[in-house]
Amino acid sequence: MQTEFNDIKQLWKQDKTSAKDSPDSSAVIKLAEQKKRGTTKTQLANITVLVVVVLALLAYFIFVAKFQLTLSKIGAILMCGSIILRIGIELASIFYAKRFDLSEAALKSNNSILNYFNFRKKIHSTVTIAIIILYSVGFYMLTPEFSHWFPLWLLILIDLSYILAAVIFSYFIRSAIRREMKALNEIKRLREDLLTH
Amino acid sequence: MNGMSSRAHKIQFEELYQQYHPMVLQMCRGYMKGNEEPAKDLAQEVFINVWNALPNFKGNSSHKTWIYRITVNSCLNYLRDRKDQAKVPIETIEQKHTDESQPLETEIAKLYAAIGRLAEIDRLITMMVLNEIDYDEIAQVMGLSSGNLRVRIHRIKKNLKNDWNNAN
Repeated sequence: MQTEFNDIKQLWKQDKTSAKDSPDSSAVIKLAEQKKRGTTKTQLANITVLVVVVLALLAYFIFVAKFQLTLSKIGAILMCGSIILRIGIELASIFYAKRFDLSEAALKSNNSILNYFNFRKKIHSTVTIAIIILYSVGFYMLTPEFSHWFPLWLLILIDLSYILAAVIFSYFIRSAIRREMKALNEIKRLREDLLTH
Repeated sequence: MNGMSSRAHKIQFEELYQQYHPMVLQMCRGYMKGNEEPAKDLAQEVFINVWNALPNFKGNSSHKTWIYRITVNSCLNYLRDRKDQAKVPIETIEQKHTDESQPLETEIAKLYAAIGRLAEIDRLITMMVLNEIDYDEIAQVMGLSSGNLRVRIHRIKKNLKNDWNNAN
């Protein structure tokens, strides 16, 4: 027997969930507040870590290292500047993400999220790479002056461990970028689907 | 909080929750191909988003349309963020119900399986049609033109009916 769409509709109606199945709304409110606090804490923690790193570097450069060579001074500026740039990007991302409105129509909401991920893609493909390069160049610009203070073996150890740290750090950044690019492709696919008749 | 007191926020949320939770849960169930646990998780996510958006509700649409928009967007974001974990083979759910359920439950499981075989956007539109939401309202929720939506619904109905008849 051929089923008509109205038969399917009747079946759907028969499965209407009873209101008794609804969990307590206060539990949802509690969870919503917890999540909001958790997200704010994570965002603040990321920025705090970066601020602490900049402050520690500045304190080291100003009070301990007291560089004499211009090369070292430029290196120190590049290192601190690249982290400050990173902090700016984190703040811009938070600001951008807070503007999402899930009560907009699906196509408009999809467009806002698509713009956000395109912004992230631009950041990753240019600024993030620039930050890593600037920080690394700045770090190695300190080496000539460090060579007056540290024995050669320690200098080699410092430079080699930086490479190792950079490789590990780059791996994590690459994974995060891949995750975001996967999400971007998914958003694009949904947009295509929304616009297809 | 845009002028809404904490108490008013809570009272209004509770009213919306009581009124619309069953509707949202059923829609989430359909979106998650009849899989109960992820559906509950998704419905919870929808109401967390409702709670966060409520102070900014401007009253330009009915609460129902507003909640549909949040539900649709939350569903699309949920799968995007958890695509790998949220993959549940339809056969598993269908099989579970046909093995141990009453005839009505089996039919309903088959219905969710049929809805689950549709693409995400079509799945959401289908469920709004099944809930007898006005086509113009669905067009508003999805942000599509009425003409585009009508063509689409015609195609979805045809596909769903064929799929249902073939599966039975």
